[in-house]
Amino acid sequence: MSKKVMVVDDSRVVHLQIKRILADTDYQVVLCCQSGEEALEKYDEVQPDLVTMDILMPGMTGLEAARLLLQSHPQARVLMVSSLAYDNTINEASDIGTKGFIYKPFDREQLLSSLEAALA
Amino acid sequence: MNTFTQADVQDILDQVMRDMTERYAGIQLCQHDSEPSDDICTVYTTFEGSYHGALVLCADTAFLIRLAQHVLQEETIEPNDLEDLVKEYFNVICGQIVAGLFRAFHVPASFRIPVFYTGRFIPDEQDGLHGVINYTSDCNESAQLIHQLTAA
Repeated sequence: MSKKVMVVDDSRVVHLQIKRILADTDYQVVLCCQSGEEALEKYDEVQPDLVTMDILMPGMTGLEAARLLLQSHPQARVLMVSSLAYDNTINEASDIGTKGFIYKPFDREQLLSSLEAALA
Repeated sequence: MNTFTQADVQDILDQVMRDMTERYAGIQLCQHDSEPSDDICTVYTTFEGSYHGALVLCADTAFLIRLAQHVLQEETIEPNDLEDLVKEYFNVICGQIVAGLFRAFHVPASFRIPVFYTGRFIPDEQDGLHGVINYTSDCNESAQLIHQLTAA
């Protein structure tokens, strides 16, 4: 059975890139959100196996959204996907309890291996 | 925490700009003393943290459309898609610059969501480091990176 992925990123380009990469895999993009607020609102409705979360978005940051999501749903699996990849943000993401961090720009192999590791 | 010079910033900006453009879109850039044409777009952001200031990219629209065509794998690029793609491309560049400056000088910072303009737009100049790097692409398109980054 395919794994349900919710993509949270304000860029439609990233939505498209992830959908294309996952099109012929065991992962299915079930919803793309453009903000952390939208992701929090729709998480229960979608119940994804994994959430990919950008950091820099309008409104709350992805780190804030991940923190709130994991407070209300400790079983949620969140993979941070961001260009803002240095020690401070990576450490903060880890402290929150996210399952990994993938740097933009990413390629197919990097995304698939990160998804696999996040779901292990 | 270390401070940095204009030359340090220029080196990191140049490396990131060329590396990310090639990785993101397979387009090679080299420094060249030619300014963008009249048909250009601008994307810019501001940085906050251990350093602050603006970073501006002005580039030939043809260059940005080619970049979008490569990434989106589509021949026709709608204006909304071009704006979204250019903002994401610049977002990647800015993230790598923040990471590069942190690795080199242990200076943490963040940046705002990039803003896109059709045409040329340069935000008000501020005090501090100020540099311009001009590029030409492998198809003779031009791009210009302008920075005003200064240690806080």
